[in-house]
Amino acid sequence: MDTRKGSKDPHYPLLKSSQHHDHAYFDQLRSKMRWRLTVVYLTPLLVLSVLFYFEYSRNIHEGIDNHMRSIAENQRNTIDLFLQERVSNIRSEFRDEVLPVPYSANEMKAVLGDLRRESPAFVDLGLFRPDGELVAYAGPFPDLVGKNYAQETWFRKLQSQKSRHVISDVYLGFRDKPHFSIAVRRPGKDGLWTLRASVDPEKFGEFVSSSYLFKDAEAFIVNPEGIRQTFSTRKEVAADKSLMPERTPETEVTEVSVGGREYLRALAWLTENEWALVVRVPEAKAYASLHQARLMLAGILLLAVISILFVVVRSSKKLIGRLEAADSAKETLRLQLFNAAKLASVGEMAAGVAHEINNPLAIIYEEAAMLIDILDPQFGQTVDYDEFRERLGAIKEATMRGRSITKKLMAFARKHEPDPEETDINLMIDRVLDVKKTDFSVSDIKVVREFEEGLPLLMINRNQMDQVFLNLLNNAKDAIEDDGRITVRTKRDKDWVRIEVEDTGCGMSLEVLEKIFFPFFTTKVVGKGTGLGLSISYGIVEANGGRIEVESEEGKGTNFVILLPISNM
Amino acid sequence: MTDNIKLLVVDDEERFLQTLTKRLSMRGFDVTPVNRGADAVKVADQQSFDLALVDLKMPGMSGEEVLEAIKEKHPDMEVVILTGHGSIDSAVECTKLGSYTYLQKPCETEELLQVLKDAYHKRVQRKLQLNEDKVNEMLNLAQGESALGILRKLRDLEKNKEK
Repeated sequence: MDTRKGSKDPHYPLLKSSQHHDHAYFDQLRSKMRWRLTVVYLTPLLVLSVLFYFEYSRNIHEGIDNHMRSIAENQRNTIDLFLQERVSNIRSEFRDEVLPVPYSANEMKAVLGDLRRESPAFVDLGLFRPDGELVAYAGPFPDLVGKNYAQETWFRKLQSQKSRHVISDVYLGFRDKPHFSIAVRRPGKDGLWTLRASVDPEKFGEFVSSSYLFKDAEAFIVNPEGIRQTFSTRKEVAADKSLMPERTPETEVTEVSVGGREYLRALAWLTENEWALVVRVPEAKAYASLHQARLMLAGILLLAVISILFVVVRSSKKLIGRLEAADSAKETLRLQLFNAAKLASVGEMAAGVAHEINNPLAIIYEEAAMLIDILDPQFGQTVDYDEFRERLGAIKEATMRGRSITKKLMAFARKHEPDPEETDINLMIDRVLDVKKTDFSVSDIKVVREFEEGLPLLMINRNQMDQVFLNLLNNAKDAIEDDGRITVRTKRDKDWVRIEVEDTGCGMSLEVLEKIFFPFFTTKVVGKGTGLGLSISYGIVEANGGRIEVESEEGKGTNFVILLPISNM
Repeated sequence: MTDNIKLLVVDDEERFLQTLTKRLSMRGFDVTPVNRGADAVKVADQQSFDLALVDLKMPGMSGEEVLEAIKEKHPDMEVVILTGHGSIDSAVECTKLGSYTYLQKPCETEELLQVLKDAYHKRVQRKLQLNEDKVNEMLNLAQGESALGILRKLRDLEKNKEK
């Protein structure tokens, strides 16, 4: 029902230009409400989620980095200890009593056996004269005996450095097989003798990588040039010096990119030689838990967003539906109230009108009866035509008096006028005051008209506005106990016409003032007032585009002000 | 029978008042017409009336107020309300204030006369009852008393009444 265009239903004459809202209004309200609710609910959720995610991922990163660092350091310490042990193994064999210089092949074999019992990583054992020639050997490469190692890097280093042992990088050497050497020196008869054991890098690598950290983690040793000294499952020999940091005592955990793959790498420098231990995990594996958390968070977020949207859509639909229902219920109630009040005021008016009509009727009755009496011989009256004429004139006059009342009544009894019409407000109020004239005079109420001349015509529903003024005048009359005054003013106030109905009655307390426009609120004794007049008047004035206001002082009187718009013509 | 009935008629409708007065007079009533409530109360104090016929809606003192004032000062006077207003509420109100009955304008002459006669009859009955009560009271007083004792008791009674 589009009430803005006015209803043709005769039961709802007031629907026209009422405050009732239509469907489009509620649709708009609904979508507005949905947007607002969504923003209000989602914003804090998203902000919190982002904050939480960053904090969580920072913590996870930190934890994993620390974990990597501590694993690398532990492993580094273990490797250091391993190498130290190997060095001291060899050193302890390189004493006069154990390995006299010169030596025998059998003795060498026995010593190698001793070493291999300590660590199976030892491959062979060789003894070098101060000039670098291998003079005694035990192991799988006996052909090496007689070769001169004077130019080998490790040999030269051992001869020149202060430390009495050296651990070489991995190299191929004369045997053409990758190995590294642990050599110790000892002063002999004609210079520094050297005992060297070579270590199988594969065996050492197994030892190095025997660390349990992450799945898919690998551990290996690199030299300062970035060349791998041990090999893991992935045979990756390519050196990348750019990835090698400066040697520091700190263990460094960084993210590096090798061959297009992102790794999380911990690098710990050994103390025993210049090598460094690298522990690395593909980044995706290292931060697998973070990845999982991210997925879970996204899932939860998605779920939350969906449920919020669901709730928002549903609740707004429900709420607006209820609002709409309440609005139409209110409208229906307003109409019912209006009709009830109309009936009530018709009842009130009927009593007043009866008085107005019964009085002239009584005159007519008495005069007619008098004429009959005159003609009745039992009263012995003489027929005087002048008296006759005079009495008949009185009857005529009384008849006209009655007619003028019914005429005024007709003005109120017009059928519904659904359309506002151009109205001279002064004339209209005059007419209403006329109806109340006798009522006021028998109550000793003086009526003062202060009308501004030449007011513009107003587009109002006369039938309805008649009722408003009748209501206000009735209230004013009831407020005045003994003789008083009702002043009705009209004047122009910018784009409005201002109508005041002021009485010198008892006035109202603030408490009463707050409630006077409520339906069924009345200060009159039970049965006298319906409590509908003012609430209906309020509705009517609003429906005619105007405002109704009230000022009152207890004991002094009340002033009702109605403002009706001029511009709506 | 109506010759001696003293009737006070109060109505602000001058034409109605005059014609009604004349017609009632023709029927033997002793009518005093008054068109203001306050005047009616004054006149009732100055003369004694059997009945009053009172309109309700009048400027100045209303019919209800007249009724109340008369009933207060002259309780044995019967007051008949004759009004054009005629609502149940006001009828109940007037009955509470002590009116004999409540008639609505225009009222048929026969009905009005009947009501006035009945009201007068009631007043007479009440007066008779009052007299009888007085006689009985005196008889009670007189029982077993000497003439002097009776006089003393009567004097005491008067004094009590004055108080």
